[in-house]
Amino acid sequence: MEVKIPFFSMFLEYLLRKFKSWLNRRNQVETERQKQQDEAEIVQEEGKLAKESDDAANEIDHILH
Amino acid sequence: MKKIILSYLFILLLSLGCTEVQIKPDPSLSAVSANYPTAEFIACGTRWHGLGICPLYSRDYLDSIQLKVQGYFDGDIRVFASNSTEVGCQMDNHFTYRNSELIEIPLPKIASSCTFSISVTPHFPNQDNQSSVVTKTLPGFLRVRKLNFGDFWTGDTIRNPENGQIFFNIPTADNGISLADIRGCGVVFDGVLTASQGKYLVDLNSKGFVPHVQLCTLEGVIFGNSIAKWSRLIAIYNEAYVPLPKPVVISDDREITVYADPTVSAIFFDNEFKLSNQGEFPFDSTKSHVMRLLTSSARSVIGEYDPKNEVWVWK
Repeated sequence: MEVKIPFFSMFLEYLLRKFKSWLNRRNQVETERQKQQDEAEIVQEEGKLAKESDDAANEIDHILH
Repeated sequence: MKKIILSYLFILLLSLGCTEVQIKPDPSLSAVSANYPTAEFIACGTRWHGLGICPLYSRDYLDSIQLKVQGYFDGDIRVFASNSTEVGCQMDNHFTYRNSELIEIPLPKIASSCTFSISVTPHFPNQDNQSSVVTKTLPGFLRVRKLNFGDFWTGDTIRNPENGQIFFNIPTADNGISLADIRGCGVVFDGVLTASQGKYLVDLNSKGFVPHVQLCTLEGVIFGNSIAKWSRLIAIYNEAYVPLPKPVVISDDREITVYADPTVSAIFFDNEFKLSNQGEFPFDSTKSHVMRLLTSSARSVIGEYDPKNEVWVWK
């Protein structure tokens, strides 16, 4: 019995490390996916802001000239 | 036997999960989702938090505003500008940074109005070893307004909660009434403004402004004692978003102790940082300091210490 415990615990440790590595990989993929989604949203907002701001500025400049 | 295995398993889990300082989950709505810009950058000589606005006089090029973006830990930055109506205002550049550096962004050498979006994605230390927290990107927006040489102009930025009231409040030396035109954010106003107690004050909700989640710029011109142009970059954010509160700070001549909101994962003080919501840092009350707090949902607070008045100014 005393001889078997180290093998069993090593196997458990191996399984835990494998599980943790799988969780980390999953988190890295999710973080990258989230980053791309955030960036896409920010870029989309910029497009709307740029158009709206330029139109407003041009109207004001047009009133002045 | 069972007891031995269980206790071994417990110690193993403990050693795998708790040996590193952890990033804290921040259950609040993220800065991007709520439309609450939090990226930090310097442009036209001013440090901005989330939103920035700069003038560009007709003789100058866009790169004269000298844009620099603040990184957190290691990470990457994307700066994007689309070509809407201004010719030449177009870029989509990615930068990587290290050690929370302030990174200089080369801009197009053109003389044009332009709107930039800034995305800062920090990579927290130990992030790869922590499976439960997904960190978010800090958004920022910079508007550059092209003006004629000699134009009198003021510009500012504001973040307002959804369904809040927006006022047109411009300081003025004028007395009495002035003609004004205001455009942008759904507002079309051509009329008379009355100066009261050193400022013009108009409730824009009654002039067509719809206070739903959006980013927009109000542009105005006032025909007072002189002709003055005015721009205000506005972010209307989701009411469910809770802006990160400023921290409690206790300092003496040599040390400062910071107590931040429990959701804060990192405190940056000048060139040092601590992965915690509490920390002590060396402090010299006769010098300027900068403090930044950051959560995993990209909520942030920036504080600048003014040694002259011995106060912290929070953004």
